[in-house]
Parts: sequence; structure tokens; C-alpha cells
Amino acid sequence: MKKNSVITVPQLFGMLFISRMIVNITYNPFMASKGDVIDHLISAVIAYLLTFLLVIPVYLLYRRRPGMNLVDNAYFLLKKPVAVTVVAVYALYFLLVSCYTLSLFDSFVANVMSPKIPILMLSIAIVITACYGAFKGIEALARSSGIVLIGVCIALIFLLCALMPEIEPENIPPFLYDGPQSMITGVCLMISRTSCIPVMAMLLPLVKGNVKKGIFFWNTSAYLVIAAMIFTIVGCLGDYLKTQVFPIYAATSIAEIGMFKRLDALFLGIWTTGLFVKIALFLYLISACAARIWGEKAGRLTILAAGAVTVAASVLLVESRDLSRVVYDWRFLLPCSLLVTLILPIVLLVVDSVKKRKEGTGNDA
Amino acid sequence: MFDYFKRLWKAFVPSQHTGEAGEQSKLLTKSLLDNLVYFRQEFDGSADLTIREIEVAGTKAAIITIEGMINKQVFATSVVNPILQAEFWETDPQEKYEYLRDSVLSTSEQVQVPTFEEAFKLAMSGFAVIALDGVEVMLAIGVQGFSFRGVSEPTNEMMQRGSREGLVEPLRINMTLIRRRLKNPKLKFEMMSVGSVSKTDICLCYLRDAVSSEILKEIKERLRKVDLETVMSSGYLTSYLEEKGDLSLFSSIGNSERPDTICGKIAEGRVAILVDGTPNALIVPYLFVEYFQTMDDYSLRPYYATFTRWLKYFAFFLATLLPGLYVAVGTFNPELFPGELLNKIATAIASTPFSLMMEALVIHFIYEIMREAGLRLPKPLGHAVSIVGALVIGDTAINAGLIGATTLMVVALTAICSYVIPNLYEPIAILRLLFIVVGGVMGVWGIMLLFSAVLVNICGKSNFGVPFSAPISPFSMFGMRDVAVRAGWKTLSKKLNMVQNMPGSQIRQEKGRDE
Repeated sequence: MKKNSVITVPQLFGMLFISRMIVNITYNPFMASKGDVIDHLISAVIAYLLTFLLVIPVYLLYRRRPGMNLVDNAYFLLKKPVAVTVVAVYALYFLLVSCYTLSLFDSFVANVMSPKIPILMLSIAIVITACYGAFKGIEALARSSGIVLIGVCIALIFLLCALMPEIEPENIPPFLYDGPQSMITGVCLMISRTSCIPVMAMLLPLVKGNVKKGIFFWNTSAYLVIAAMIFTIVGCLGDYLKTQVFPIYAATSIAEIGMFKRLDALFLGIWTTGLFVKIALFLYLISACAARIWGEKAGRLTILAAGAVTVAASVLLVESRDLSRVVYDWRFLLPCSLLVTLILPIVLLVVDSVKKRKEGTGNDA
Repeated sequence: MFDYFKRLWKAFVPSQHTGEAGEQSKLLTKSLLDNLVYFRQEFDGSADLTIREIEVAGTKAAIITIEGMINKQVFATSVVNPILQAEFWETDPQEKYEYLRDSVLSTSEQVQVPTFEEAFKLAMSGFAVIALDGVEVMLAIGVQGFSFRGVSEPTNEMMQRGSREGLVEPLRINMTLIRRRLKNPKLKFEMMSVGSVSKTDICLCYLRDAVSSEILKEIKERLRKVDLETVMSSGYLTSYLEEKGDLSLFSSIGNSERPDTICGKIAEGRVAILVDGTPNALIVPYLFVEYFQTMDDYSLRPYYATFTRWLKYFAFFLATLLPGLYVAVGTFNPELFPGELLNKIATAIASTPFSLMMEALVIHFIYEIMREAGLRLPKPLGHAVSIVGALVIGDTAINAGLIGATTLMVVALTAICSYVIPNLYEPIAILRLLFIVVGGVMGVWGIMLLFSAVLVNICGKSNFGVPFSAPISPFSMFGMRDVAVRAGWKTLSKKLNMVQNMPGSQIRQEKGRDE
């Protein structure tokens, strides 16, 4: 019985929604600017619209050859050394995102939770589980994330409902009170943390269903949640927000509904399972890139190698303040994200158009 | 080079396992003496082989039976007496054989046997094999009469309302139990044989217009690859029916002792595999949600069936996660317990010498040992073990300050919960142990990570192209009528949810296709 890996549109965008939420809950005013966080609501609207524009090159590339992902397209359109370089760039980007995501979790645990277990041990455990997920393949991950998504949505609604009564109108300052700088930084931060478009570039050929609808619902729901989170933490925490490294966690620890208290445990539950989904997904993508260069067997081995690098890099990021300051800064992340989201797909589109035109001219002659 | 030697070796050395297809069976000869000599040689004087030599109108003949496998009264009235009392006008042995076959013997079950292999098999299945000198075939007459356990209530799948009949050991009786419930010519029983030494009969049962031909083909292919020497129970075959390299704790091969359950599964496109000598059937493909469905659900009112269904889901999570979570929170995040409970737990922890994890592990192991002891012992002794276990060991251990009462209560509660879904007991027992260890070492994070790994394990599993986690993920709203709720019969009977049509299934959707 031949097995073809196929995932559905809701499964793909469910995974992407979880991946986005995992980054959203680490939302940190220090990463953005010293201005008012409420300005980031305008940033969310702008970033929402910009995300639609950023998806276009990847979507057009997919429409041209629906059976090929971005790395297949690179091999098809470019000379082998160039194609290998493109694939390597994507693999490195996926590795960077998994390191970034895990290091954020590690720094949260180290700074906020004061755990009784070493950070290294926790990171190893997370990455081993994620490696197992990546080994099981994209179908297994997509199906698991379908179930995780239900939990994430229920928990998010529950947390938002719990925090609603805590919102104080006087905590909410007017928009753009300190100028547009905070808003611009917010847009850059949000765009730089959008790692889902390169994932789409890799997975769209495996997807069954209406992709356009999926993109619309994914982007809208992701930014609605971002906006709701920003509004809630600003309304709940006020100026206290500016002293918090992880304000969303701080807000959940004060939330309660009836007999339900200490909702930070729920928050941690979402974060850990979501983190597993995201890192497993990115390790899988790294292995897909490696498999394209070195073959299937090497691709599977790469999962372990990438896992080891992720652990080492994330622990290093937590230990080294200078390094983390560079990596967490949007000025570093934004060019990387734009390269894989926008520039390389556009290059491939241009090469494809040029080749087609040449073929057309050749046929006419 | 290596392949060349491998082929050379295969050409000279015959295979140890002789499968059904590749078997070179020796043909019977015209000489009765030669046939009987071969029979005796093969059985090597075995005490249960009975050969009665007679004369049929001047032609030497023999009736071969196996002691204890036949009904002697039926044998005498339907075989021996008619042969001895018959008048033969024919002189040619072949004509005598045909007259005997067509006019003398009145039994309904007659098989003409051309090979020794088949003659052995039928004799050992309770047939009387008649051989005539000068005829190169034998006639096997069905006079089975071996003793077996009568049809009784299945002990592992009790039901409040509904049939009290359960499968028994003989294959043929199980086939009639199924046929009686599905009086449909499309219901097909297909016999196969497995085990190179035991030659155990197995039977595939399916509805020809419901089953997917691809699934059926794959099942047969996997069963043909069974290279066991003996197959003593259906459990021997499960590893051959699972996907290659499947190391999951959960099995995608179902099991049932109830003919009504089996018929329900067959109607949804599944294949039941009956194994001679085993009072339960294997059901393939099987989904994770089916572990939570019982025959009672369909006899009870929908609202109550839905309630019990959710009770089972809750019990599964409780049985798997509760001790692990208790250990994790108690060890790493005690602040999450409500104040008064925390005081009690803290007092219990302070008064016992072990850590919470050790306590939970020790109680878990003691409980598992007592359960094993209770299972294997005769019933009266089993009760004694329960009393000693529950009252003496449990009570004394708490009074002596060896274990905390809360820990004992948590483990006891989860033990009861695990009996709500008896078919999942094995994975639950292992997972509970793992969750306790992970919770004790890594706290709530460890629990969440192991939970994620189990989730991906369940979701990544598929058998015969059907995802094990369907219809939850991949999701199907249509499938939810018998998963999230138990819809009423008016809804359920509208359209059957065929297993090959589950979301994410790799099988081509097909209908009304016969083999």
C-alpha cells in the first residue's frame, strides 16, 4: 500500500497558527521600543496587511508549479550550486527560528520560573520530543497540531475571558502619544517574527484544499489574537507592563475565573505543547532541505544534528546577554525573514519568467 | 556477489517454512497398503490414530479417524453401518467408490481428497477418511464431535442489555454465531491456514459489498507472510497485521469476544479474523476512538450513552495522567494545590521516608503485582489476594508511615479508572508509569512533553492506509456522531461510516465491489 503524505489546509494553517501564537505569547515591550505598547495595535493592522503582500511571491510560485515546493523550484530553475545555496539558506533560517523560539522559552524559564531542574536538561527534553515528532513526519505533526490547536484556542479564550474584568480604561493611553516611532518598530518586530511564510513555501504542495481561504483565515485570526493580547495586557497591567519581561505571563498569573486561579499553569501548558509543535515542524523542514541536497537518509540524520545545534544555541543565547541582544533585535531578524519570505521567491519568479520567455522566443524562431 | 550465493543457497536448501501456496503435497496412490503405510509412518504410531480396516464387497478398505475428534454415534450410524449394510453390484473399485460416495453415505459434509496433506488435515479436524484399494482419492466425511466449551457470556465484554452469547474456541461455531446475525449472502467466510507446524485454521469474515478490496488484499498478503511454526491464539498474528516497524504502545488491531460487536464492525467495512482455538476475533483496521465504544452504548438512550462515552474519555486521561501530575505538582509546583489540600499533602510527605515519585512508583508496582497475582490465581484465592492487598498492605503501610494516604488514594483512583476502558489497560499501565517518572524528574514540563510525544505517536499511526486517530484528527464532522456524541439510531442508520472512507484514508473510495 503506497503512502502519500497529504495534509489538509486547516491542518497546515493550524500548525502555522500555533507557531505564531508561541511567538506572540513571548511578546516583550523591551524588544520593540520604549514608547507606548498601545501603538502596537496600529502596528498589528499594518503588519496584517503587509503579511498578505508578503505571501504573494510564495503563492505565485506555488500556483506556477503546484507539485513543487520552493527548494524543488530552486533545483528546477537554477544551476545546482546556486540551488544548493538557496536550500542551505532556507535550512539555516529554519534552524535560526527553532533556536530563537527555544531560547525565548529558556530565558523565560530561567528568569521568571526559577526552575528546580537545569535549563540544559529542559532544552534537551524539549528537543528530543521535537525530534521524535519530526521523525514521525508531517502528517503526524499536522494531525497532532489539530488536537493541540483545540487546546490552544480554548485556553486563549479562557485566559482572555479571565483577564477582561481586570482591564482598567485609565491604563489605556491615547494612540501615537509619543510619535510614530513605537508603531514603526512594532511593525518591524511583527514582520520579522513572521516565520510562517517560508513554511508555506515548503509545505503548500502537500496541501489539499482551498489555500487562499486558509491564508486569509490564518492571517486574520493570528493578528486578531495579537491585537487582543496587546489590548488586554495594556489594559490590565498599565505602567506595570514596562517592568515585565514576559507581560502576558504576568497578566495570566493575576487572572482568575471563579474557582479557577493560577492560570499561569494553563499558560505554561499551552506554551510547552505549542513549542513542541513549532520546533518539530522546523526540524522537519530542515530535514526536508537536507534530504533535497544529500538524500532521504541524510535528511533524517539531520534532524538529530539540527536538534543538537538548537539546544546548544538556545542555551548559549540564554547565557550570553550580548548575543541575545543581537538575535532578539528586529534589526537582525527582519533582513533574514525578508530574504526567505520575499527576496528569494521573487528571484525564482523572475528566473522562471525569463526562462519561459526564452523558451517562447526559441519556439517562435 | 552476496546475492548470488544467497540465491544458490536458496536453490539447494529448501525453506523451513512451507507456506500454503508453495507446498508440494504428496498425491495419494491406488494402493491402499501404500497409503496406510505412509499414514502410519507419518503419525509414527501415535496413540490417537485409529485405522479400521474393512472389506467392501470384496475390496479392501479402511476408515481413518483420530480418537476424540469424532462423534462416535454419528460415525457409527452415518458411516460404518451404511457401508457395511450396503449392497454393491459394481466390481470395479472406482465404481464402488462412486456408488459409496453418491448413494450410500448420507452425510452432508463430504470432501474428496487427492493428497496426503489434505487427508491429514481433515482427519485431524474430525473427519472420517475412507480409503478404498484401487482408488487414488479418499473420501472425507464430516463427523466432528470433539468436546468444547459451550457458548456462554463473554467474560471480558459484559453487557447490560443485549446478547449474552460470546465466541467459543471452535472456529465453525464462531462462524455460525456471526452468520446467524448477518443473514446476508454478501457475508463471506474465507479460510486460510497459518503456522507451518500447527496448521491452524483462520477465517476472514467480511461483507463483500462493504469491505475495501485494497484492505482485504493487504490483509491476505500480510497473513501469507506469517512465518510462525505454531499459532496458538489470535495474539500471535497481531504483530503481522500491524504496520511494519510500528513500535506504538497502542494497537491498531481490535479484539472482540462478542459476535454482535464483530457483525457491527464487519458492516462498517472491517474484516474480522477468527482463529481456530481462540474465543475472540481480531478486527482490522481499528481506530483509537473504537476503544471507547461498547455494544451497550448502542442499546442505551443516546443522552446517557453520550454521557458514558465522555466518562470513558475522562477516565482515560485520569488513569494516564493523574499520578504523574500529582507527583509533578507535588514535587515542583506545590503552590498550585489549594491551601488546605496542600497542608494535608505536606503533612503526609513529611511523615513518610520516600519522595512522592518513589511512593507513587512503589504503590503502582505493588498494585500491578497484586493484579497479576489475582488474574492467574484460582478465583477463591484471588479474593484473598485482594483482601490482603487492599486492606492489610494498604492500611498497614499508611499506619506505619511508609506511604502517604493521598498517594495511595490517587493510585487507587487511577487503577479503577483504567478498568473503565479494559482494552486500553496495557498502554495505560505503561504510560502511567512513564508519566510518574517524567513528572518526578521534570515536573509539569515533562508531563506536557510526554503528552505531546504520545499524541504524535497516536496521530502518526495508521494501518491499512486508515489513520488511527480518525475521525478526530483528521477531523470529520460526520464521524463525530459516534465519537463526540452517540447520536440516535435515526441519525446513525441513515448512512454507515465506512472505515475506508475515514478522513485522511489512503484507500480509494469504492462501493459495491466484489472480489
